[in-house]
Amino acid sequence: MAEKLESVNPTRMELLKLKTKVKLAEKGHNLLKEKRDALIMEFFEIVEEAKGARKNAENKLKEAYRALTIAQATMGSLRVAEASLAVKPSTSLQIKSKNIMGIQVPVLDITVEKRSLLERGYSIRDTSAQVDEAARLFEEAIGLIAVQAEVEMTIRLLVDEIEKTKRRVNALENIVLPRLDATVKYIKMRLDEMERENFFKLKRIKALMDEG
Amino acid sequence: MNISVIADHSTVTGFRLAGVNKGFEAEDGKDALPILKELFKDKEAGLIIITEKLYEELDEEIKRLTEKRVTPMIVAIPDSKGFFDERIDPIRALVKKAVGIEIKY
Repeated sequence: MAEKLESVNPTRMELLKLKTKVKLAEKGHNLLKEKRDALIMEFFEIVEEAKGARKNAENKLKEAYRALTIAQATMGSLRVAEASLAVKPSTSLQIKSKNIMGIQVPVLDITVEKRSLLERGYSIRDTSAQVDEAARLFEEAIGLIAVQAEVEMTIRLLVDEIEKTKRRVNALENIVLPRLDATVKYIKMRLDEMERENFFKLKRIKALMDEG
Repeated sequence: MNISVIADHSTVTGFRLAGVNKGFEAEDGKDALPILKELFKDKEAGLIIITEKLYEELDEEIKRLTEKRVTPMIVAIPDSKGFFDERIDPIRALVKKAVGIEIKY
């Protein structure tokens, strides 16, 4: 049996107040439970998405590394590194946010310019075609990595929210509601007791008066 | 906002070729940690790409740094030396946290 609330007066007023409180708590509890379930459903959907995003990014990276290794093998890694330092920055990133059931979730807006080899910035005379290939693949990989990052962050935020909601549901279910119920019961018993006492008092007085 | 890469030499080279101008070379966690901390102070840092090897080494620090904040986002990728077979799957732990039980998927 849960503890009753501290310092309540066993009065009818208090009882009425408590009853509305119980109603409110129950309503909140139901709402939160629904929210939790909805969040978990959303979560599983996004986990599915995350798996795909991860795979995509990894596959593209695998290709990109392969191309890079070939470039390094044909030109020497030093020369490739040299060429890479000459590349003009091309990526820009913008982070917006969208709302999934009250959670602000980031949306990465990444633009990687698809550039022709002349626009990249390194000299095409000193580099082999493999470098171009590697650059192209890495450009593609970045986009996929960004998707992965976005989905993973979404999952993290969702999990935080699910935990929070779960904690609230449990708190209501296991602490707040039992406590309120216990208090309601306590007040009811006290009121009944008082009524019996009163009734008996009246009886007793009547008996005394009849005697006298 | 910008993208940065913390990785070994070759991986950084690759990303530089793609036009990521903030590439930091780090061979192990000791090298990477100061860079990472610096990036987390930078308001312009939006996405940090880090190799899984470094990520694993700095797991604790990253958890501490990323707590309660959205940007910069950090994402782990396999490095140019190859893919781990049994890799840390950050999602699995999260699934457990959310649902309360471990689910194989």
